[in-house]
Amino acid sequence: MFVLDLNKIHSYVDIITNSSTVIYTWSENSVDKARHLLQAMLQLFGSQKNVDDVFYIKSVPESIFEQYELREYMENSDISFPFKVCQYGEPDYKEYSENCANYTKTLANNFVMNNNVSEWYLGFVEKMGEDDDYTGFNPDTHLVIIPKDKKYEDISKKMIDFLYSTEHDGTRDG
Amino acid sequence: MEHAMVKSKHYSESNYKAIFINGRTYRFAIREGVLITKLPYPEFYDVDIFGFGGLCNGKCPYCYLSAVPNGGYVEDAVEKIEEYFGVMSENERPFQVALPGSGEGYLHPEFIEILEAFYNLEIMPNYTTNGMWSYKSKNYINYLMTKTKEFCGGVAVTCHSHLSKYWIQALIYLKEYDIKTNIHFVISDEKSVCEFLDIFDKWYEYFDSAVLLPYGVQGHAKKEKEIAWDYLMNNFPETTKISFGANFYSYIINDESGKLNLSLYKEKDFSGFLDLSTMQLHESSWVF
Repeated sequence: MFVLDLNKIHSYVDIITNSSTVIYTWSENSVDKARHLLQAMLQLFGSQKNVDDVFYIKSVPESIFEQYELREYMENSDISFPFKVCQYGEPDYKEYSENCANYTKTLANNFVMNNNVSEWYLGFVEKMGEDDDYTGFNPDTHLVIIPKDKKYEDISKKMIDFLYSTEHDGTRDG
Repeated sequence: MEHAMVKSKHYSESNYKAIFINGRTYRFAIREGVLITKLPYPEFYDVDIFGFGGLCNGKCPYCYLSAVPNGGYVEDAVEKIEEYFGVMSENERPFQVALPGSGEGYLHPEFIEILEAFYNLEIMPNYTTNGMWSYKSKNYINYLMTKTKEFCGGVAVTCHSHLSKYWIQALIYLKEYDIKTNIHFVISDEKSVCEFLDIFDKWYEYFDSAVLLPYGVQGHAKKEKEIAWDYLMNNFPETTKISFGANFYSYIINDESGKLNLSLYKEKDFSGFLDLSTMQLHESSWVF
């Protein structure tokens, strides 16, 4: 899995024909823009595949990856963890904390992949996407990208390296 | 453009990184939550191959660059382009340029060579036209379209009311040759907004984006005119196919209609206007 950090993407612009200034915000419907980017990068790295054949792509509230958010939601909703729950200071607390982290990641990944997502988890995601501090701004979102097959992990790594490397680069094929 | 063009630029001091893939630019803030500041070298340039008062056959009475049918052009444009941009490092070179700055591009005797010079420098040229070439010979049109397809990222056709037969025919040719196309339209009063909305609906399938440019007093345009911003917003279509020229910035930041789903950057942070007749780099074309 890799996360395309939508908060870092400042703006997107198509061909410039007159110093046009308009930029669409990078959220919700911007998933399509990200899809364009990923499709172009797939081609750059030599794949003729369609981006949706290679990746699961979903824009999600970033807090679904926070285990404390999941813990709080589950505890308040009387939903049981599939492992032993401990309190801070108890001997098995470290193991419990690791289980929570793994469980949080598994559920989030399953959500992105539409894989056995329970009703209560859909409720959790919806709640994480709400403006709960009444600032008028929705919480930050991440674009999560998961290769559909192990054989695409290498190309995923190249793509994310290209996106987040701090060196400049320039290539042209053809 | 017939091959893939993939480039990136990186300026830590401006908190900026961008990736350019086949005409699309994706900009990143290196440090999240920190503003991107003005770049040391522009990401894109308007390049003027005519100079103020240059050659154009459109005879628009409101031309803000004072173009005229007997106007001049920059005679050694190709050499100047190669000298100016050729010494830049790959990181300093712009991703793309918008031509012709002023005047009507195809009237420049070296227009195709200019496009090719940018292409060879791995800078994507795009150009704006009034479409009057669309009534020239079939051979010329085929030549212009073929070279445009080969060297350019796209073309913008300006929809001047008095030149409608030309720009309509130009849109048809550009679609036929599968060339990425924008339309430009100058917005002033309510009547102009209505005319734009009519064109937008009627020719929707013939362009990728409609770029709205505000009327401004400069050059031939002497008369002050109202910009019917509120009327435009009240009638604004639900679409992502409309863009705004930089001089709409003040209207956009003060807009209260809630209809624009935009994020804005300072209008001159990424761009520059290079006048090849004087080799002066300006912040925009509104300097004359």
